[in-house]
Amino acid sequence: MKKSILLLLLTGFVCSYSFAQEEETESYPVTVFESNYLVDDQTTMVFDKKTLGYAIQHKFGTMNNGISDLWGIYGAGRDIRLGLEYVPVKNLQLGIGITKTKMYTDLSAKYRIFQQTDDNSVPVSLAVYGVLAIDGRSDDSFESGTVIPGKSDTIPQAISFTNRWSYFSQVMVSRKFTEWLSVQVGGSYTHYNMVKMDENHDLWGAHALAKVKISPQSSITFNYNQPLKIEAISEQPTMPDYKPSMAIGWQIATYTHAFQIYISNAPSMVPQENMMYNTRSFDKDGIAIGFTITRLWNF
Amino acid sequence: MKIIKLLMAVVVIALLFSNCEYNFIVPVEVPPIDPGDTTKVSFSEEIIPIFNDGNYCTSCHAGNIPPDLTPDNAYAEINNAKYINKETPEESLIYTYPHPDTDTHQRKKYNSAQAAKILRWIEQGAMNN
Ligand code: HEC
Repeated sequence: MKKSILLLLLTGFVCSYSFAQEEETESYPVTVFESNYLVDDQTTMVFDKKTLGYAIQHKFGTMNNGISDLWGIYGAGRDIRLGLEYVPVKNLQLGIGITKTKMYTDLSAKYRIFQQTDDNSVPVSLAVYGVLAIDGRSDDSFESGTVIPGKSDTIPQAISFTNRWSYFSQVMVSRKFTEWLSVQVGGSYTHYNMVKMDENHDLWGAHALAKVKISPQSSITFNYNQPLKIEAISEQPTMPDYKPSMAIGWQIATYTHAFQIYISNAPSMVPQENMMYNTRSFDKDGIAIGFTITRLWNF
Repeated sequence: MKIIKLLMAVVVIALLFSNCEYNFIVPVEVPPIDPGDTTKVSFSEEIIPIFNDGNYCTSCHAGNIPPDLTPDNAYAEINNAKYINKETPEESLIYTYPHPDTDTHQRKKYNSAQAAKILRWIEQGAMNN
């Protein structure tokens, strides 16, 4: 069912796109975001064809210990992700990454369906994004190391490769409103193939990003990710406690480099993990310093 | 041409999502504890094996990364206020840090039975028995 909704949405975009094609005007695409990352989320930005991007992302420990561990910088690091993205054909970004949390390996695809233009003939940029993450921990990290296909099943089966998969799919729309303000909103669907007895497999979410330019190269950035507690799709008598995550950051971007430093309460850099398993609030016990560094190469 | 590429992208993304499963992880049975039961959890026979069997914790915690959880050193290493809180045993670092429901220590966690055993051992005074 959900798959068909996704497909329907996507094909809907295909049709509207072919209409947009017919008007031949002199308009130029607008750069809504300089980087494909904003804090630890993806933007509608897809870099030029035949460009390779490399991302280093790090989150330090939480800041609640104050000076004793230099606000988490000397503390036990929370998460690290190394990512590679490549654009083989115009507007399509394929990515792969590895993350310390749950030893995730993630494969991703992002397609920018259309891009905002300066004459407003296309008022917004629109992209779809999908991430498949594979939990790489050993079997003994999952309690008994066995799963059952439904709660009422009684015969446990050994954990298989696909049990370890989780998905995050997102539709995002962005617009550069003024020279200094760019905003993106999105909706997402997260699915885990294997969860604990008191957790849900599915989760819908709402997302918002904003970038306020303060000089030609630097901007203040914000993000907000809200898991939606929808009783109708909950498999549990009591809804698990999904916590929203947010961040405030500073970005310095040039054509080939973007450096972002931020404060966030999201635990990881893998979007499905942040949606499903955030236990921290945006307060002094929950926030941590993090950074994202990206470098692009043209071929 | 553009449409073909777009369709390709749709297919790629759809393929990525074509394998939804709805499995549940089977938890390890935690034997219910009878309140009248005063049998002591033995450190050497029940706690040490959690740390040491199959190098579960000692593959990393064998000296370089604190706490040292090797059989000879484990007790001396964790028997202090940093790791064990005798007043409120549920707040002991040795219990909470690798607990299955916390988000600290992603590398390795206790399963629920191991966590229950550690907690009970601390509740009984964290003895070197
Ligand atoms: C793969 C290596 C690895 C394994 C296996 C491992 N740990 Fe750890 N542990 C670490 C590292 C590295 C740290 C340092 C802090 C961090 O990164 O979380 C740590 C930190 C800790 C801490 C907090 C120490 C402090 O002083 O703050 C405790 C307690 C702990 N581990 C207990 C355990 C227990 C119990 C097990 C077995 C269930 C275990 N660890 C298995 C690598 C490991």
